[in-house]
Amino acid sequence: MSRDEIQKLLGGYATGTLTEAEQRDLFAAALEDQELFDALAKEQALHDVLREPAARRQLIEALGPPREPFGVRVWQWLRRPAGIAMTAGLAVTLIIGAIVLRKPQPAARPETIVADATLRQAPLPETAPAPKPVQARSAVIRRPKLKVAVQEEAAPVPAPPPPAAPALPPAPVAVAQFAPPPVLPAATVSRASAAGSPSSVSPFTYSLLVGQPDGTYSPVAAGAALRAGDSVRLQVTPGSSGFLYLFRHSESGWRMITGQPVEQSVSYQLPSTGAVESIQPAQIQLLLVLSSQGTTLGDIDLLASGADSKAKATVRRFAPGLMAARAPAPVSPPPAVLKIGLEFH
Amino acid sequence: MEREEILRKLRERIVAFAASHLAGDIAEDLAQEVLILLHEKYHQVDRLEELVPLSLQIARFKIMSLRRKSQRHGEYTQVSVTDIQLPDLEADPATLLERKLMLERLAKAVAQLGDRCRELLRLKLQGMNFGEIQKHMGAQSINTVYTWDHRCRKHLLELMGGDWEPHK
Repeated sequence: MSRDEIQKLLGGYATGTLTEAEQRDLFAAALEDQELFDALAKEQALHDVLREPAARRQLIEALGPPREPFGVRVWQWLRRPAGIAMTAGLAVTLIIGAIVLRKPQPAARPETIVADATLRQAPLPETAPAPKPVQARSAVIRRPKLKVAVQEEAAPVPAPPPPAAPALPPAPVAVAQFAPPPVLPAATVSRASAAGSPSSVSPFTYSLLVGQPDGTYSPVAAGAALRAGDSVRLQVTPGSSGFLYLFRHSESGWRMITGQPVEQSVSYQLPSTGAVESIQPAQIQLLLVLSSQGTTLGDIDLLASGADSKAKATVRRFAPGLMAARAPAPVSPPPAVLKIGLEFH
Repeated sequence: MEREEILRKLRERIVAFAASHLAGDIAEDLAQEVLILLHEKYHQVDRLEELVPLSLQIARFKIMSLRRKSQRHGEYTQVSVTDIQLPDLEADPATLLERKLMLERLAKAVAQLGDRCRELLRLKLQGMNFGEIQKHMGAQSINTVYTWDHRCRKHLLELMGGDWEPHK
């Protein structure tokens, strides 16, 4: 033991607190160190007094009541009003702190996976000329830390991806954007829609209807192209109940053509009155929006721009000619958006 | 360490200690008296843990007796070692009175100590060693208890005026 440590044993000499080993250390050091021996000799007076049990009892009484153990003292303190107030305040602070810390942090820059999907032409009647394959624009999936495998054609419908992080503006949307729109084979669409039942996991399926001379609308024939002056409607079957909107793009921006509440798996014609028309060759951009809420659609331009910026969706052909836009299915589903391009020749 | 070696070193320390309290050759004679007493009356004691406290106790009694006699005769600096009675280590009335006064001063002083020091002193007086005190007080290490005790003892000594004994 160092000299300083030996010095600290001095306090145990008078009260007889030292163990035999500690006594040996102290006394052996004192025999070699005059200063320590003198200090020990001065302690002798106290040592002589405290040797008597009566003197010890008297001093113990003078020390007052024994100190309560730590746990008891804490409990007694907690029972005081000030202690209760402080404890409650501390608890509230901790709870608030925990809530704040548990808030989701802004998502890191999401990974971007680009899948170039080739929309193959559906089989056409033998009389029709074989159309060329259509190269679709990229369908882009942006999700934080989530990779989506692009599956082969006709693969089973996968489960919807998990909801996107809330901090991602705009809200997750499903976008299918095809170009060039006029080449979109209406016949393919209509046949696909007729062949496949609306998927329970797809926001909606749709087909193109064209106005007939008798005023009815019928699916666009396979391989047929739209001509200037045609009246076009969409036959849409939503995958879930909500509000269905159809927008048309003009020079002033997106203009709503129609909007109505819809039920799941019920087919609707949009617009229900009138039609999408062009009296001259033109390209028309339509935006189909399915929202679970009728009043919180938000900024249509933002939704559309989300589509333009390859926001969030995967586009597949599940069956020959069937196109479906698949959106995430979060707890509170975000609007599903489908941009459709039509070209009137 | 052998008994003879212990006694030899004890003599050196006692002489030096007594020299700081007594004048002249009295310190040498006092140390010699202590050793004679250890040799004649406590010859069976040979352990370091017993010899050191015993020699300190004898030396203190001798010094106190010397002072009392000197004060009575006004010959503090002229007393001869032959006039100093060997203490029989039994409490005489004067010693009892001194202890009583010292105990009263101690009682007043300890009442002024802080909570930790009072608790520490209480446990010491109840017979606990430092290891037991460490567990009882929840100290992280025994060195922590040593440090607490060192500070408490220093504070108590200050409250006592710098010396345990009432006179000087």
